[in-house]
Amino acid sequence: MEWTRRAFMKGSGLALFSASFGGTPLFLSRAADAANNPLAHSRRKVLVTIFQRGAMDGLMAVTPFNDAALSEARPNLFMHLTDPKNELTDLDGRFALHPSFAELAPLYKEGRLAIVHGVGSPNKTRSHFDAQDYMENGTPGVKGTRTGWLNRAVGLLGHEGTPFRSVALTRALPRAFYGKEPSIAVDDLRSFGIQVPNNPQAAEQVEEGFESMYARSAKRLMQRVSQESFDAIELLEKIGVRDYKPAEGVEYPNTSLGRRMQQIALLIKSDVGLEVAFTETGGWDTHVQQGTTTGSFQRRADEMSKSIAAFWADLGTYQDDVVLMTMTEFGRTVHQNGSLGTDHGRGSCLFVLGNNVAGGKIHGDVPELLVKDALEDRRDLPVTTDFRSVFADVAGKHLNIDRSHDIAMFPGWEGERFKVMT
Amino acid sequence: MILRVALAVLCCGALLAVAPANADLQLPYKAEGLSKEQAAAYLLERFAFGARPGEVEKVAKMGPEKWLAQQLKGNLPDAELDKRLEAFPALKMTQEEMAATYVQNGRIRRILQRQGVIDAAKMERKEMNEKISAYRKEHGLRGYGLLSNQELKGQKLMRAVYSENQLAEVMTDFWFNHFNVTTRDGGARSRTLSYERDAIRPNVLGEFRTILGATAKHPAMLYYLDNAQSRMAPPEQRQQAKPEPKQEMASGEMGMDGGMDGDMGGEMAKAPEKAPAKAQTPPQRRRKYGLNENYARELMELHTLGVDGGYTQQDVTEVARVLTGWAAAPYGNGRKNIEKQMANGNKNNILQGDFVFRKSWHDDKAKVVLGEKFPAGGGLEEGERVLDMLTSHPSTARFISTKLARRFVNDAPSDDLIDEMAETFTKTNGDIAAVMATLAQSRVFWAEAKKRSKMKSPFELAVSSLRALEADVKNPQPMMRWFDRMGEPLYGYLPPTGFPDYAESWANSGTLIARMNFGIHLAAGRINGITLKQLPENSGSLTTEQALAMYSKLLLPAQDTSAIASEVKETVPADAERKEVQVISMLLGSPEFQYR
Repeated sequence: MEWTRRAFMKGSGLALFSASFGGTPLFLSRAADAANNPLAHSRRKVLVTIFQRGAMDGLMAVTPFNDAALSEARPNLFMHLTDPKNELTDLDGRFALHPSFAELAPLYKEGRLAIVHGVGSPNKTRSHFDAQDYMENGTPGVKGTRTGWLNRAVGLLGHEGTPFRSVALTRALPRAFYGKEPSIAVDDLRSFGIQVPNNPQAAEQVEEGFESMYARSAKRLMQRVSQESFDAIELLEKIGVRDYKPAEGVEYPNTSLGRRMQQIALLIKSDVGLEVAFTETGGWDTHVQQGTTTGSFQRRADEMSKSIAAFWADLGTYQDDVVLMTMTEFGRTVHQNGSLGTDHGRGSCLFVLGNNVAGGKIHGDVPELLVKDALEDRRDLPVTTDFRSVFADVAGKHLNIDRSHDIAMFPGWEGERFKVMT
Repeated sequence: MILRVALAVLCCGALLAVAPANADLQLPYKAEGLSKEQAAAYLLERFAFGARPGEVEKVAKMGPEKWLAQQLKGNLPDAELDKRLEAFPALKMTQEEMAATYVQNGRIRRILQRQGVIDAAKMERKEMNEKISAYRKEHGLRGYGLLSNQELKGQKLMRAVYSENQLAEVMTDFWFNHFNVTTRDGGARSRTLSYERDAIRPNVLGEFRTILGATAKHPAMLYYLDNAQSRMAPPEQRQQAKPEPKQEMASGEMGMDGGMDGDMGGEMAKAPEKAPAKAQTPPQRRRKYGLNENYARELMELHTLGVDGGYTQQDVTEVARVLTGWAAAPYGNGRKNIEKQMANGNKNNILQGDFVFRKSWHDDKAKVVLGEKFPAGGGLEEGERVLDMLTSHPSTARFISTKLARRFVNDAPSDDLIDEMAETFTKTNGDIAAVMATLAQSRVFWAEAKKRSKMKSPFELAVSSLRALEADVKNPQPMMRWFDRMGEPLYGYLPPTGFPDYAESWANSGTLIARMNFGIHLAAGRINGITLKQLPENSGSLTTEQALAMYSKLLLPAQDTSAIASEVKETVPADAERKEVQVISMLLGSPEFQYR
């Protein structure tokens, strides 16, 4: 991706600045006539992805509350609709939402949130590492794939991007972003910049020193990347990453996921060119004392639900541009284990949120009764929907990637897109 | 047990190849217009992790040829390093001892459940954790994460900074990445330290065939690329052939530096894991079968022939069939049973160190690999024969030479150089030291000296900083987050390709800023556990010019640094305190220092 400072300056942040300050700030005035630039003022479609690492129990998140076989398999973990302390939300007469996902219920009822149940990988591995690897490289069973599916998706967008096109709010570059399209992976956007410990005032000076040093470097790569970096720093400062105030009445959980979702919202609302965002939440590997209305599952669900709901409300009119999709490497056993938890299984469920989503519906196939004969390997929720068919539909439709490119997004896959987008 | 380590090392072929005597080495640096000092500085950047204070002069004085000959032998005494490595007890343990010492909470929980000490269905988590801690204390067990996070990563940094056998360390970094495995894989995780120690390091300047065989048979690789699960189905089961479910530890712990994230670690650290199921369940009891081609494919695509090296999908399948039965030796009674069987003359299982060949898992029918016929009944030997074939294949000679040239010369090495190296590779049947000697004696290699065209990896950047400033690394751990930020989480690259080795892959907006911040923090003394002998804490008496003169020589020896000097002078205010700190920050973060 060749990308120039001028294009970036012209294309980013202008909308925000004219709106908030009534004028273009000095650093942007270097940009020439914005009207000639296709990027200027253009709002991009954004795909936001959240990886739930550890394998979420889809049968607890979105539970078939009438299933007597499930009730029998999980004497301590089954949640009855009729028990008022469970506070389940009945979604469609068959499935109910776990109370800690309560914030998502209104979005479902408004038809913006879709759930795909029984989703997973055609590869049967129950190793977290392998399954996550396959879900991120997009080639189940094939480990050698060098790139990640989201990086390949970015490569298929067919237009130029800014340094903020592909951002992971994670500590290390996620596998899904491996590849030749440039990405930023950063734990916390507030730490993106030159930091001089004990002497923050010196940062600006040091930054300027580096900026001119790199501008004169004989290495073109250094010139280009440093310029992108310093522009990005400048931009983050201008959009106020350190003192961002979410929309009126919106409160994010004060957790890592909450902060990351807030920063993704800020990037979207600042028109810096974000198109694909990735973040992750851990702790879903509930082998011991999974709990129902309290416990490890509940805490993770609560954080996630509140983070997503806050993010969505914060977006305001930007909601039309955004689709959010969750994913998890596999599901958990239908039967509870001896430690009041569940072990590694197969199918789980995922959420897709957006105004162009076929929401208010539970898609996919879950056996009517989760008796052993109906299970995969007689123990797990069967995978009835290949994750790639959902990812291809969501990314393809939302980011306008043609069906004919699905094979490039998911090499070796020749299936049909699963219709979850309108 | 210690004896077994020694044996394993010997089995793996610790013998270093006979390197050319220094009289035979001809380094054509003069022809490229370099002085002896410049040649020494260049060698220390490429064949070492950078020069320590005074080292350029030392190497120039002894002669670059002699220094290189020593490095190709890689057997200099390493007293200081050895002392520092005492902080890493796992380095002296066998794999089985490590598995017994570095234990996951989940495994202890299950033991205590069996003993009736813990009732996971009733007991509060807090109480359960107390019982687990008590058990740890009583049995002298260490945290599971210590092994792969602290000891494995820590020893790598220590060796790179302090080893006298620098080329061996550079080559260890190279070969590990070439035969990549990752600690983020639950199966490889606890075995990666042994993998590097036993399969990689002893062989880095030896015969290619030896390092290839050692990696092929090491459990870390066998698990990482699934060969440990690849087996022939008995005829009646072939219809439902499928890989066994492979469970491993929770992802929450699989991230960088111990936890994916600080605030996720809390819960995850407590979440009991499936202990590596393979280590505990005797694999014979499993009844799932199936051929897994992952290792066979990467063996040819990444380890030997290269992607266009002239093999077909059919060859991949055939090689996978050849390698069925190549598995990891079990621990405990499983191992003892095999030893007993072998002593009784039973040849069903052949144990070699941590590797076992299981005849009952092996596809014993005839095969054809790369056009050569393998009659039925070849057993373990046919796998050895495939590795021999791959080693002497011309594509391998070219592929390995290309990768070495990319690492040591430039991102797009010339065909002429590759041809020359490949010729040596073929002539010596893969004598790595000889191939390196060919590289070092080429005009092409020396012509790069003035271009400084190789971007340092984050590890190279950090280690060269620490060496130049004579760091005393008391605790290597705080460095690990910097490697993550700069884009090279140690032992954390997921695909079997290893980290890509070209500048564009290291340089992006986030990681370039992190490099600058690394230098600033190192100079400011803000990386815990590290002090710099070349920057005493009470320093502060130098002018900017004096500091520039002193530190340019340390960090960018034998180079023209006048351009950076003027930039630095403009940046450091006349009234700044401790100008050295700022000067070093700017030098470490300079574009010049990002290259070697």
